[in-house]
Amino acid sequence: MPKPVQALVGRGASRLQVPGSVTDINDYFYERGWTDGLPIIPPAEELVVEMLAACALPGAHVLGQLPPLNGTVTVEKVAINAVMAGCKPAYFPVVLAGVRAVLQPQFNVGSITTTTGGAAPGFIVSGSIAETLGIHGGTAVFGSGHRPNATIGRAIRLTMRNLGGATAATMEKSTHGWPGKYTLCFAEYQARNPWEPLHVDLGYPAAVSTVTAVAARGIHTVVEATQESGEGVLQTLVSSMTAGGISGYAFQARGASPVVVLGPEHAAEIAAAGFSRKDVKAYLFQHVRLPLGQLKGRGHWGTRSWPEAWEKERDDFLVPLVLSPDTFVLVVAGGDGRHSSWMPAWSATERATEVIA
Amino acid sequence: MITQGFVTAAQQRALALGMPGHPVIVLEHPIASKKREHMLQLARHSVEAVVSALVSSLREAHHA
Repeated sequence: MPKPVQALVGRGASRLQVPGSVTDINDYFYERGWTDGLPIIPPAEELVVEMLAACALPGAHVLGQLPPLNGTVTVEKVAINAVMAGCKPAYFPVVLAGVRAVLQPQFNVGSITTTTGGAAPGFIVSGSIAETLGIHGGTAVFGSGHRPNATIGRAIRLTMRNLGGATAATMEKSTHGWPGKYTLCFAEYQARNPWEPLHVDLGYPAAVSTVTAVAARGIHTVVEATQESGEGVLQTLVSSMTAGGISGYAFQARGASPVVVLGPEHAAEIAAAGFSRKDVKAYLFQHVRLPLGQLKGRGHWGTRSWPEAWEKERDDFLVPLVLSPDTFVLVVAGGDGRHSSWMPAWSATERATEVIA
Repeated sequence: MITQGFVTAAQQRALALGMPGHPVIVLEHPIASKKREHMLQLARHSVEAVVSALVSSLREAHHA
């Protein structure tokens, strides 16, 4: 039963009458900087009302203020952006949880927008809602063709754009950015995950579903098509995570989470070798390190933010990418094939998780 | 204080915080790769501009 239009009043959004075709409306929105460049679904009031009907909160409910431009985030305004992004109403609770995660202070969304470092918010869904809604975690998990993945991530990005001011004309300062800035949402592939789900690893009850927001600077792909021992896969992953130019080696004190996405074949072999989820993170913590001497005078050396004690260490001291094993976010996703990947974290952020209500 | 690449962002942020016209000291971009000595020199050269901006802001606030 749709909610009455009166539910939208209060801190309601402006009502516009835009004459013309869908193309004209798209031009109107694009020219005002309200889209990401892709076509949008015009957010007609009846579509916004349908979107709102998918959650228990009134449209005027305020979720917070979205930096850097501090727009007031109401449920109605998120619903408008969800319509524009192409979401089905059933996806709306995930979008709302994602927006809530983005608004958690430690996520530092204002700086994610304004950094030159090209951070894109990524949203990882864990729990039964992924299967219910068809949020994809399998073949070509970061590729195209899956409406929940494409539109949930896009809805949150449009919300950041239209309420937070994440536009290149104003606050967006990425030197490059990357396509994850259009949308980046995926699910853990529980059917092929040899371990407990991500949200249980993060301390949530198995019965709930969660969305975890991270700030990712890109995706590094890792092929290991020769080793089958499990540990051989981890060794190759470690070698990818100890390359030059990874900003996290200078900002451990900030607590940002790199995301490691194991393909199901690799995950199965690692589990068969006796590694639990905890063991994998401990292995990565122990081995994803670079000699201090190799970091000196390079990257973000001049602005490093790490434990004071390391300043007295010798050049052969092995500097870890993170300060604790649990800082890594470990996910199993993808299809068949000898591939895994990892996402370097943008540095001045901590991950944020919300239960999907 | 902001580098050239962030001038628009600083102005927009000031506007969002209800402080249009908030003074902004603009430094040459980039600074991330500069050495400590260079940054100290930049800081020394900026003191006058910072004081001037602070004083003018106070004066404006006083007259408001």
